[in-house]
Amino acid sequence: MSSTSIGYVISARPRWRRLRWGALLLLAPALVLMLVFFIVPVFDALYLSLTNGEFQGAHSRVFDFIGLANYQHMLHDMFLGNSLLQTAIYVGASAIVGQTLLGIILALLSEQAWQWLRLSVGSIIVTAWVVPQIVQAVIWSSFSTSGGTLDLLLGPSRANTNWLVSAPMLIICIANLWRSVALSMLLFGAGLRNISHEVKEAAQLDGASYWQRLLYVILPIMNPTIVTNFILVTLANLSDFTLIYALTQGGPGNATQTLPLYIYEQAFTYYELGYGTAIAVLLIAIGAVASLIYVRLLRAEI
Amino acid sequence: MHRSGFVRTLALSAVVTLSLVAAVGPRAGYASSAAAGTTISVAYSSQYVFDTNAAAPVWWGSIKKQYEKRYPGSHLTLIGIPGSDVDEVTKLNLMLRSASTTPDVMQIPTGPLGAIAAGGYLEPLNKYVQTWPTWKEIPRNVQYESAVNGQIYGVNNGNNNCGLFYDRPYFKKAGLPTDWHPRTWADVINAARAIKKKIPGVYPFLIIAGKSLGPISVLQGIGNVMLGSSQPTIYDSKTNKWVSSSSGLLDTFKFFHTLASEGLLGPTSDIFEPSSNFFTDMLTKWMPKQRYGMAIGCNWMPAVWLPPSAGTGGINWKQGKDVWGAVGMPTEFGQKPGIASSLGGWAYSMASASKHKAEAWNLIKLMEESQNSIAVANGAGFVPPSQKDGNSPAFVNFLVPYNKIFNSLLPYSTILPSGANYPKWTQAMNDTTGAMMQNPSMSATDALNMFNQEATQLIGSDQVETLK
Repeated sequence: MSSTSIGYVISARPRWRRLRWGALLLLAPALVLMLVFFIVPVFDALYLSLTNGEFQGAHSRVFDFIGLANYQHMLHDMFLGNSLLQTAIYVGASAIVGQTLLGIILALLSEQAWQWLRLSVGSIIVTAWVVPQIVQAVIWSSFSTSGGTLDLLLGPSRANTNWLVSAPMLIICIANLWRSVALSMLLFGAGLRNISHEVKEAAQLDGASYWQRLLYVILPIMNPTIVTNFILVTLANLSDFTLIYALTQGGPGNATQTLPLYIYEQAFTYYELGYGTAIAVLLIAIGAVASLIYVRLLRAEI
Repeated sequence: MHRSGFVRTLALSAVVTLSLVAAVGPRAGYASSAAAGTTISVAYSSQYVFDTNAAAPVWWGSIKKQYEKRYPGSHLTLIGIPGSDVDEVTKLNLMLRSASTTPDVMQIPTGPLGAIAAGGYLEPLNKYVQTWPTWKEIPRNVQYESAVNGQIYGVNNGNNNCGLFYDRPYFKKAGLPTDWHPRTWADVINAARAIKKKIPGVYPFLIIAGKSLGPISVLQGIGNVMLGSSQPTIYDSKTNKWVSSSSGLLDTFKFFHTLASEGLLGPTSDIFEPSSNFFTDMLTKWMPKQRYGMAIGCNWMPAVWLPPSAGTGGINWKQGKDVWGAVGMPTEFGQKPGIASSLGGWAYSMASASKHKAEAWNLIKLMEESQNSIAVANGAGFVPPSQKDGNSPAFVNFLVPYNKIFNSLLPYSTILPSGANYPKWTQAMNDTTGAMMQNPSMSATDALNMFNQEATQLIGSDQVETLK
C-alpha cells in the first residue's frame, strides 16, 4: 500500500499494483451479473429499438436497421397516448398521491398508537406487501368480481357487477395502494422516529397546535424522507406489470393498459420486437427524467 | 504481510467463483437419449388442441410408440407446450431463434403459420406431398391452407369451421321456425330482434369480439360475417395487398353496429373475459343455461356436451343437441354460395433447420394416418383433412348431428389468409369490434375509419388497399 506522508518513504510500486486486486476479484461476480443482466440488455434494447425486428414474420431472423422510424411511429400511435395517460393515472393517483398520503397518515397514527395495535395493524399491512403479486391479484379478483365480496358489501342493488369491467382503473389503483402502502408507512415511520424530541417540545412550548407542529415542523424536517419515498414509489410503480396483467390483462379494451402492458402486447402478442423495445426505451427515459427531478429536489434540501 | 493477505484473497475469490459456476453450471437441454439411431423432436400444444388435458399425452404417447416401433432404433422427443394457442406460438417463436432448440416437427395454428414461414423457419413440403397417397384425399382448399405463393409450409391436421347455433325452444317461443334456414343477414338480425322483444332477460346474439381471445376472435367470430359480405376479400392475391377498407368491411361493421346499438349483444363482461375462461363459460354455463338466443360457434363446441366417457371432458348435457340447432351462417344478400364459414385449424410443419428431414416427414405421414387423424378429430373437435376420414362412421357417429352438419359446411368454408401480416389484420379487426362493443353508438363509418387507420399503421401503407 502506498502512503504519502512527510518523513516516510513514498512507495515506489507502479500504479497498477496499487489497485486493490483482491477487492476487485470479490466484486467481479456482482459486476459480471450487473453487466449481463442490466447493462448489456439495456444496450441491446437500444439497438433493437432502431431495427424492425420481429418475433415472428419476415423480420424474425434478419433485422433491418431502420434508424428512428420506430420512434417516429410512436408519435402517430393512437394507443400510446392512452397508455401514457393510464400510466400517469396509475402512478400519479395510486402511488405518488395515494401511497404517500396514506403512508404518512399511517405512520403518524402508529406513532401515537398503543404498542399492540401498532404491531398487529403493522404486520397485516406488511403481509399484504410481501405476498406474491399473483396472490394479491387473486385476492382482488375475487373481491371485485361479480358476486364477490365487494358486491356483497354494497348490497343487493349492486349485486352481479363485475367491478373489474365497470371501474377497472379504480380497482387497480386501490389494489396497488392496499399492497404498497407498507413501504411508505415504514419509511415515514423511520423518518418520524428520527425527529429529535427537543424540536417538537420547543414547538409545543411556543404554543403550536398539533396541526401547526405537523405542517411547519415535522413535515419540513421529513422532507428528504418524503422525496426518497417519491423516488422509490415512482420507479417501482412505473414498471408494474404482474398485478395489472393478472387482474385485467390491460382491459377491458385498453382501459387499464399502462405502458408496461402496452410494451408486453406489442412485443409478445403482436411480436413487434423493434417497436416494443422502442416504447421500453421511452419508459426508461421517463423513469430517468423522474429520478433526475427528484434528485434535484433532494439536493435542494441538503 | 500484505502479500500473503493478497494471496489469501485471491484464493478465496477463486473458490467462491468456481463454486458459483459449478452450481449454476450447464443445464441439460431438451433431453435426447444417447442411443444409436436418429432422434427427432416434435413440439405441440399440450393444453389447447385437445378437449381435455388428459387426452393430449394419450394421443402423443401413442404416436411416440407407433413411431419408435415402426422405425426401430429411432427416438421421438415430445415437447408439449402448455397454455393457449398464443402461448404455444410464442414459445415456438422463441425456440426457433436458435438452431439448437429448434424442433424438427411443429404443430402450428394456420393463422400465424404464414408469418412464421416468412421468417424462413419452415421447410417447403411440395416435393414430399406429391408422392404421398393421402394427399389426394384432401380437398384442394385444405391442401393449400398453409401455402404461401404456392409453397406448402404445413400439412393440415384438422380444421374448425363455424356456423350459427340457435336455441330451438326460444325460437319456438318467439314465433321463429325451429328448423331454421336463414338466407340473408337481415334474417339473422330480425331473429335477434324477435328474441329481444318476445323473451326479455335473454341476450339475443353471442359473437366473439375484442382482443381477449387473440387472432381466433376473427376465425370463430366476425370472420364468419365478413366472409359472407358482398366483398369478402381480406387479402388480394392479385395485388398482394391486404384490404383495409371495402364495401364488405363497411357492411360487416353495419351488421355489428346494428347488433350493438339495438342491445342485441351480450354484456362486455362476458365477451371480454380472458381466453382461459371464455370458452369454458360459453359452453358449460351460457349455452346450457340458455343465456343467449343465438351464437356464432364452431364445430368443436358441442363436443363439450358429450358424456365424459367420450373423452372430450364433456359435461353430459343430453339435451344439448335438442336445444341448440346448427346451421350455416348466411351470406349478406343470400348471394352464392349462400353460406359463409371461416376455416382454420392446425398444421404440421417441418423446420428448415432440421437435420433429419426424411425422418420428420415419416413422422408427419404417421400422424396423418386414418386411425390417428380421426382420433385427433374426435378428441380435439376437428374436421379431419382427408375426405375419406371425414365421411367415415367413426367420425360421423361421434358427435351427432353436429359432425355431419359441419362436415357438410366444409365445401363452403373459406380459408382465412395465412400471409405474414394476417395477425396484424386480425389485431385491427379485434380492436375495432372491441371498441364497437364498448361504445355501441359508434357508427359503422367510424368503425371502418378506425379499422382502416389501424390496419394501415400496423401493416404499412404500401401493403394495404381499398377495394370497392
